[in-house]
Amino acid sequence: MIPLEIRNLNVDFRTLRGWVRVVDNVNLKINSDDEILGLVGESGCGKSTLGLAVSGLLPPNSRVTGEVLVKGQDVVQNPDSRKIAVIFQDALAALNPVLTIGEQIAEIYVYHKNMQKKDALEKTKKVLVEVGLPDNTIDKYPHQLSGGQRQRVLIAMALAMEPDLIIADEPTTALDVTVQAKVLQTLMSVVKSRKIPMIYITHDLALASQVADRIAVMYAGQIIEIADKYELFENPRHPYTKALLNSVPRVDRDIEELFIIEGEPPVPGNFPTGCRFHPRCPFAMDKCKQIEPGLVIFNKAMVRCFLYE
Amino acid sequence: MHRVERISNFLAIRRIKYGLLLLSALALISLLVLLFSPFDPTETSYYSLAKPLSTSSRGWPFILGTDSLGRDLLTRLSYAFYLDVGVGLVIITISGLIGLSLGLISGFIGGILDSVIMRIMDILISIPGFILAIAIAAALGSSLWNAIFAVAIVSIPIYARLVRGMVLSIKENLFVTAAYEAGVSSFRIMIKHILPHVMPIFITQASMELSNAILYVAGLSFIGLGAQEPTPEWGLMMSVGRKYIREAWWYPVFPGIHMFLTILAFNLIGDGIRDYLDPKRKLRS
Amino acid sequence: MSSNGFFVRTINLKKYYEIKSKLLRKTIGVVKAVDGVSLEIRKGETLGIVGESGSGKTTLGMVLGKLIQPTDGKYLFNGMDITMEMPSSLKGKIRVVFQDPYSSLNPRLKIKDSLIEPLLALGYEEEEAINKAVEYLELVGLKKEHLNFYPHMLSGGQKQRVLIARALVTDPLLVILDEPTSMLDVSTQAQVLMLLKRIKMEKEITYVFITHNLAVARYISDTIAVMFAGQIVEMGNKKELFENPLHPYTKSLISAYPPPDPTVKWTPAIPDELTVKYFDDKCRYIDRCPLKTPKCEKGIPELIDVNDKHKVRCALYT
Repeated sequence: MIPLEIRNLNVDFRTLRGWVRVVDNVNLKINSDDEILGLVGESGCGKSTLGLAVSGLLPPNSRVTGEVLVKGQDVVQNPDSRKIAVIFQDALAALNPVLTIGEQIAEIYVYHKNMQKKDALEKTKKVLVEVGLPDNTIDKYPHQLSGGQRQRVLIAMALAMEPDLIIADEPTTALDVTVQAKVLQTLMSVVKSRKIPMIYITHDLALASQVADRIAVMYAGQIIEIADKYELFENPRHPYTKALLNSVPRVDRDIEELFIIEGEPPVPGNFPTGCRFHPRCPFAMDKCKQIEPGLVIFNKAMVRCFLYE
Repeated sequence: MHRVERISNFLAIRRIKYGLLLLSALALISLLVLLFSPFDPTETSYYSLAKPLSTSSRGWPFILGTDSLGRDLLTRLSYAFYLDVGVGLVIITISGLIGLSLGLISGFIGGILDSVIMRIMDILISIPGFILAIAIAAALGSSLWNAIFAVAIVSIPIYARLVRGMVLSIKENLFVTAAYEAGVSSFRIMIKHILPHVMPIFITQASMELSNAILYVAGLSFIGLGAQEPTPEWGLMMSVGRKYIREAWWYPVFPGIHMFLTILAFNLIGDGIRDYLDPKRKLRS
Repeated sequence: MSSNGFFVRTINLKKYYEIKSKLLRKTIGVVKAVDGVSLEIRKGETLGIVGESGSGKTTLGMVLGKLIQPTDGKYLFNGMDITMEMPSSLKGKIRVVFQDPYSSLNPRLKIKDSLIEPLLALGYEEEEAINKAVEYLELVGLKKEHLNFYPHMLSGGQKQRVLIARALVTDPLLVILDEPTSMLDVSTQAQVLMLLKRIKMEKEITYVFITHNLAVARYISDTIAVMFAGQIVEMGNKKELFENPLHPYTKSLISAYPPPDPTVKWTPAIPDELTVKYFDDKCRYIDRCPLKTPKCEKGIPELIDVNDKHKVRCALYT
């Protein structure tokens, strides 16, 4: 029984113009408990929506079809069986400003694990240490902590749930780069040591290359490439993936010219026909404008592109 | 969330519709009466003193009766409609413009000027409106214009505070900083960038204040500090008519009903507009 | 005080904010946002100012853009002392592009009105201003039709282009860009960066590019200044700085970026203590520094020349 299997997942939102598909026929797997799956894409690609769909946090004006099997249980059919923790980007918004950190974490132990208050407090102290926070954090309020510390609190809360799956949605995007590095190191180490599978959502391919084991690239609601991370970087297949890799400035080398992808990422409801990347693709053929490519399966990768069919 | 939006949206529009309907009906009737009435609103007639629905000496019907001086009530009420509403409009215009300017200056310039203006506003607001209006009107002398002046003064703080609050928050917008960066003068920034964002809420507030203004003037007139005889004005008519409530109940009652319906119409419209423009509704755009 | 031949020169620029107690209006503290910044920028050069949040880089940008008055120090522009006042001959010659394209444009104004505004403020007639606006709109890759659009009809990247056009429309000599691409997608960022590079070459503008992203700074700058706690801790020619970073903070910052290559191990060298204290009697990096020596407690080190292309503020090099 693998930790996560997403089958034919679609997410639609109801807008003034009717139903709009934001996540389109996504199939993903996490094969082992110590695997981190990276989900990479730009704004509007649906990666955050996918994360919300898996964790059951979509707003009421949405519709989900397909299956999300967490340890064999379909959480779309049985929402109450979900044991999925989410780590959001904005820690200040995710934390209750009038409760201490200790109260908020202990609450999880008391309600989800049915513990006595005393035991909950003990566990709280332990998990705070695990994420690298000092003991006295228990009595602090969210606004008294720094951004990095708050994010660690979110990680601690996720761990407290003892979840079957963690979804981290751009958990460090709002932090300074030095703080980000430290927090991510902590995150990676705790999920690996506790053997909790994680979906790591980010727009930063470089981060994904360091944090994730496998990477799925999303564009316009679809997965357009999935590969083991070494494979993805050594042999990127989809033109979008290649373009992404070459359009980002680097700290470790001088780049003469960044690769420019013309145009802008499309918005749900206005996706192009055929291959959704075709208007921006330097290799677009006539076929690409009319027919949607399916996933082509290689040894360590899958691509959605006619160049490979 | 969507369904709730649409329901409240619908209710708001309905309110506006009914309010407008009522208001137009009242306005139209009053207009027609004024155009075609054979009676002069101030001409007294010994012959027709305090008569209910009946006929005058020349054969024209007193549809709502006459008052204690023999003047046709319907004609007077139609006159009063336009007078009171007109007075209300004058008041909200004067107090609105002054309050708007004070609020803009106060919020935009800040500093000591802001403190001074706001303290004056605080003083005005801390005294119950009607009492203050009485005090001012009494000090100035009993006349309709003085009543207008008094009510206008009392209404200024509401606008000043509202506008100032809005200016303070709009001022923080990046596009205001950008305008300053582009070399635009402070005055132009106030007019071109800040004012347009203030206007919708300001106008909504003003339209809601209209009924208030009318009520205040009618109230002042009722106690003798506003309109004076022979001016046809709701408050005055109700005040004088009070004495005759046993013999000629129509004299105080009809003005009351008339005023009530008019204020109701304005309130419906104002509430409808306010609900329609409710910030929670901004989700739709 | 001379410019030493530099187009833009700042000498010990400071911007302090006083924290006043609410009741008695007494000063109870000082925020030293910019604390002694001396820059030397050549005409046509791009200076990248890199720093984390709170380092003072945005405040420095506002001072350079003449939006804020400095508390101390001098600001020399093309030989003129513009510390306190901008001479009228320089109106429109120093412009700022702000970070957030979504809120920098008045949502109620058409693009046309936002674009001609700086020109009208300079005294242009509306027709001339519109012509110029069109010229620059096309320069940034947009079309004449966009003049009649409202901001919400444009994408983030397009809005940012409008902001750039708005800054260029007064033919500035110096443009301060405060995180112009932070809120844009990766692909859009690349487009905007390339646009900025192209315009710089065509128009010979001097840029000050403020960013928290060292990689973007590396791409776009000629010279880079690293800011920490209100001060420049290292400044130099780009090649020099990256091949041979000197200040422990610079080294730490560089190591914090994940290499976009899974085969390269990511070893961030980040100290545990990440708060910033504004000491006046010792080096401000002292609590974080893995290499601290007793010398570091003897006062804030000066920014000294290591060679003609590289300066550093660190006791290890004095």
